[in-house]
Amino acid sequence: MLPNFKYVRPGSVEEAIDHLTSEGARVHAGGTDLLGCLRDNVFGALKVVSINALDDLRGIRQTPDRGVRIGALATITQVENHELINERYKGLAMGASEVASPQLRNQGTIGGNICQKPRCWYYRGEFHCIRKGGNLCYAFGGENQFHCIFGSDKKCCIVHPSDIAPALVAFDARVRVSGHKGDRLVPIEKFYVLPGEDVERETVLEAGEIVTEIILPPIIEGTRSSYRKVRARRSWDFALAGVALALVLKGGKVESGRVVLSGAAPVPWRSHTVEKVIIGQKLDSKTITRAAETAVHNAEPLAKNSYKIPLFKAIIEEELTKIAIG
Amino acid sequence: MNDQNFDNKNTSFSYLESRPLHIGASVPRLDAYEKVTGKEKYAADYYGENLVWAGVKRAGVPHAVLRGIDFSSAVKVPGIVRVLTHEDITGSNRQGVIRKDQPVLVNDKARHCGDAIALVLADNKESLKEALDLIVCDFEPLPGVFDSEQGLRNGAALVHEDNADGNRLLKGEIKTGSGSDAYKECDVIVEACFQTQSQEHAYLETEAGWARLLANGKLEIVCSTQTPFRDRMEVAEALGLDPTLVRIIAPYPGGAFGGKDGVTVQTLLGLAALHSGGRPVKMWWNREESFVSGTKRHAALMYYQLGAKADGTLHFLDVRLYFDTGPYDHLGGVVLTLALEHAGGPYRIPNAQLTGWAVYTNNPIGGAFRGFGVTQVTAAVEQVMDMLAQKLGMDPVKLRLKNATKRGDRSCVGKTMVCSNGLVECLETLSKHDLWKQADDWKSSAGPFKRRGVGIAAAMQGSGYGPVVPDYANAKVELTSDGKIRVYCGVVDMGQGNASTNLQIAGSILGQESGQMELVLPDTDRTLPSGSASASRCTYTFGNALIGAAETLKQRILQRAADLFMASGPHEMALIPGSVRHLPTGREVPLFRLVKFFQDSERIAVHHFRAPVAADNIGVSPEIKLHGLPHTLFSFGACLAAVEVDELTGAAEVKRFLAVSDCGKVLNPQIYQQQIHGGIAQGLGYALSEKLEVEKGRILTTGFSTYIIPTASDVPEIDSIAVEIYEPTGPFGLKGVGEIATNGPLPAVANAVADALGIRVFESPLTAERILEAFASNGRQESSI
Amino acid sequence: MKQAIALTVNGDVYEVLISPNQTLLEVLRDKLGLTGTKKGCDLGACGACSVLLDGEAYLSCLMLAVDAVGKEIVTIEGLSEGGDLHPIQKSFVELGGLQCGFCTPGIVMTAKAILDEEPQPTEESVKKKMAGNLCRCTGYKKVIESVMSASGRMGGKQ
Repeated sequence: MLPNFKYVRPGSVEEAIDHLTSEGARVHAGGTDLLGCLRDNVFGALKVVSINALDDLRGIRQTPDRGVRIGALATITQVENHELINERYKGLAMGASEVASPQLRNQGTIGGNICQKPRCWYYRGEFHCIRKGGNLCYAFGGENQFHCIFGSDKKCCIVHPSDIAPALVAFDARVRVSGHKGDRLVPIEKFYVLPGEDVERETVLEAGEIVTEIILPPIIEGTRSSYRKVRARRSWDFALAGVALALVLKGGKVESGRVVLSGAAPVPWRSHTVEKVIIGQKLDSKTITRAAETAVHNAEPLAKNSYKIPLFKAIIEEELTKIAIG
Repeated sequence: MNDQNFDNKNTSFSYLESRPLHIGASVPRLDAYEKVTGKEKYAADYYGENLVWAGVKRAGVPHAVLRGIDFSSAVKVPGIVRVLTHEDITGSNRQGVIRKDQPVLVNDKARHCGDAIALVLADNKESLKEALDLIVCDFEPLPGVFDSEQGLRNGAALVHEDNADGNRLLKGEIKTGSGSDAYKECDVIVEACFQTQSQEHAYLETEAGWARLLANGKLEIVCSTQTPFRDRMEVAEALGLDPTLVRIIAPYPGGAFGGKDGVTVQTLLGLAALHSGGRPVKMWWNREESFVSGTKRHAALMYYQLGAKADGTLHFLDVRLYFDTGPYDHLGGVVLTLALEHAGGPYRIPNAQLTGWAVYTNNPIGGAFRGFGVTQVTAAVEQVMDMLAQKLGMDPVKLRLKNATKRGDRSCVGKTMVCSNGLVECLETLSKHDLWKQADDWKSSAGPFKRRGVGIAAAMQGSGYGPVVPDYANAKVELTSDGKIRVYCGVVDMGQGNASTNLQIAGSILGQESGQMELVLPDTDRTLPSGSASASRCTYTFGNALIGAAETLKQRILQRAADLFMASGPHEMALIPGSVRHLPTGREVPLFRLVKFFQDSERIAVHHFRAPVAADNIGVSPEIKLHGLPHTLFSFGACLAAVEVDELTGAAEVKRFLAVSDCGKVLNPQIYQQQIHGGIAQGLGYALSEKLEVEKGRILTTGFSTYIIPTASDVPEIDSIAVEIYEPTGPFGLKGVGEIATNGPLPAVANAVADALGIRVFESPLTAERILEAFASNGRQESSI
Repeated sequence: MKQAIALTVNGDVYEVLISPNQTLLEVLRDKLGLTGTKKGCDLGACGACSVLLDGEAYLSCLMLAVDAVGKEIVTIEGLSEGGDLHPIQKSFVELGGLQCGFCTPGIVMTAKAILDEEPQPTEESVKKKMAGNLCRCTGYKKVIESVMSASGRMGGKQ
């Protein structure tokens, strides 16, 4: 049973923004996360603002500079199956194919996916935790086997649940955020907020702001990308550990690129340390081993998730090896 | 729609080919049409005009004195019909299968988070939710017990202050031969401690029901249940009603697996209907509520010592079992007793000391779950068997074959095994299968970063109720006034297919095709008491009763037809679809004509069957005997898991699975295979991914996104072979197939992982995290194989 | 606040008074009496409530009824035509792709979406696309066999 709310379906972004500035308003796209949160009492809603009439926010198309623009309302299935994305941004298509279940990929949108709420069982359960305005993170002293090993800032140890966001970070995508003051383009890395900055929010979105599109920069020649997710079941399951790679290889060496971990931190976690080790180097087994070792150097495992250390090492090693082979 | 009628099922078989039903054929399930078209009406599908929605306020705390309930704001919510508490119950307010220790609505204290505190009746779901949120319980928290070993210690908080044995629900002790002293006579001893987890039934239809109070005082309850006849007594006693005024109607449940063996919504619904002013009442637990309040497979802690002679002859077994039964007995004592009986597996072990405790805690309620205690101990004994084989340098199949019970041997509790026993055939079939013969080749062809192992396990599963509680069924078959054959099923079909098999049995005896058959599902007013849908007993016990009833009716039909044709006797007559034929002349009389020559009382035949019980007196306490030890009928099985472990991630993937089972003769191969496949899938979930996270009595994994049951992508290719040994006491030679397949997967997978890695993981499920940790700390492992 | 909407279900247009917080699943079951579509979790994690929405498999528990306005909704009740079983249903009956049957309507509707998109799928593909529908009884083996057989049956018809 969902709580009572008012439902509006505005015909323009501006109108939607107006609605969203009102008290207790929630944006509604695919609804797959919103309805779950409302049912689980994670938060309430006085007004649900459906953006499903905003057809401008649909579609995936090439931009004039040969990048790709993905409308916030593009479904995960559309991202997963899109020809351009499969051809050039393979890691993103792979990430999309790993999301939830087939039906949820039909219903869920990319905008919703990158803005989804954490899956921590204390946060989703009947615990008034620090992220919901309480005083305590229950996971630190509790069941924390699926929690983070980086970036908790000793405040909240959720992991970011998206399989798509890590790939977007790897490709240095930008998020178009629309609000009263107009639009801003936020590099997706800067889109997410660590608990140390503000423990009650996951993104930089202000009240009345929505994500309208995601822009992938033109692909650099020689880019190889992938997404790997480890989980207990083959569908519906969130990542125990994952890694998104987008590396530019030239003359056998890594010229540039990004390594982003999922299931590791409260945000998609860019591993600068791994990037430092591999950039400018040949991806030989020595470099790869060193990169994998470095990846978990500064990790701070909790009482029940130290298995993530060997796990991340293993998948980074495996995925870098695959990229090296091509 | 208020006039619900609980129809016979007879409209939908015309899509099937018409030929007489017969035993041994893969007759398509006769319930399939209604189910694939969405027409089947489950308990959850009952609504009706002027409906009242009923919901429960749950404790939310694991252990606390209830000082008061404030529902003053809740009753003010528009649309609220009533708020009821224990004060509104005039009966015993207690329920339970063996021990009546569970309140319908808490009157003294909460003993687990799912305890029901108040019952709210509302005009609609929104008001119901609002009112439930507004009820405030005044609790005085108490220290809790969250672990069975801890619960037995002195000074532990008491779950039931009035229990003379503290937190001990039941202690069972069995000694055979010279018991523990026999360890001295062993050449080899292996020792291990295993921990198995709580398992959620996870049926797709959560607990649901619908009830109304008729003007004549009759209380009708339609519910998703395995036990309509027992429910009637439970509801009547708890609410202080005359049981003959309670009618339980049991449609097909949307899955049950033991989780609907006993009262869930029934009493609450009955109470609600008594206070709804004659309006029908509906209750349907949401998924979270089902997790929190429903029963679970008991978490178990099991200490094992197994000793053998140098040649592999088993000689000695010492077992200590701790079963966490949660706050209520439910069926915890019986589950423990089956665990003790099966603790030594299907083997001859002359000397055994078996001790077990079922312990009250403030965790979720432990109850019946397919396998019923046998699943836990099979996981343990089949792993120590492999450890022993390793230590002896023996082939694990040979070690099992060497010690396998045969008919006439004694089990580890000293019970003489008198029923048909195909264990040896199962093991031999397995050992001749390519998956076993070519195991070495398969293992050595693992890809990079992969390790492969092949593990096996054997199992047995007792069926029926044991020596004291009568395991009976009463079948009723009717020649209807329009010439159809109507079977009144006394036992619920929760998906296992027994309703369909019942029609197949009656149809084959009476020579009828499916279009001639009608079915009445269990209903305390229409069908006869026949016990629970549990314990692998349904088709065995009810089938035997049904054969009797169908044969009686057959003789009546043939005799009356013979009289009409002035034949020399019924031997000249034969039943054919829709008619009776006089064989010498070929003349026929349709059943719809023949029935006109019957008096109403003759059209119905009933037959009572009571399952045989063990004649042995094996010297256990009367209490343990009451809880069901020993059984006399057993099914057997052997299985194999071919597992690939990813060295990097720790993930174990079952690539192939083989199950060879002896469940007697197979009456319907399709339904038989469904039962085996389904049991394996549940067993593999238990082995690999199903982990109920419980923190101080509170479940954290209250949905399918965190409690991980297998999907279509997770279940491997399964080979299932039936070793059909005829069981003389069974209907057409059958034994039960409901549970046996669930027991093997965990130990087979654990043995395969040990085979792959050289490391044994003693705690289930064998998640990637656990395997990775064990692998990473290899060398520090205390008791590796 | 209640509002009147029109839903197109199985080709029929239903005018129905709903609240915006009601899901498509609730409206199908509680208002339209189409109880063939099942509720297994109400949180999008079991697939029992799967229906077709403009031909794609959707979870009706995670969809507001108001959002289904203007879409073609097909439920299990709308699959068979004139009392004849759809070939998918026939295959499930004959091959025993069900036991308790509570997940079956959702599975059959998902099978329909799978076969409409990919008439001759591989077994692997069916398993992957069926991974959003939980079945606790059958171990999926006969479910997958039923979908494969339906694929053959439907291919044969064309």
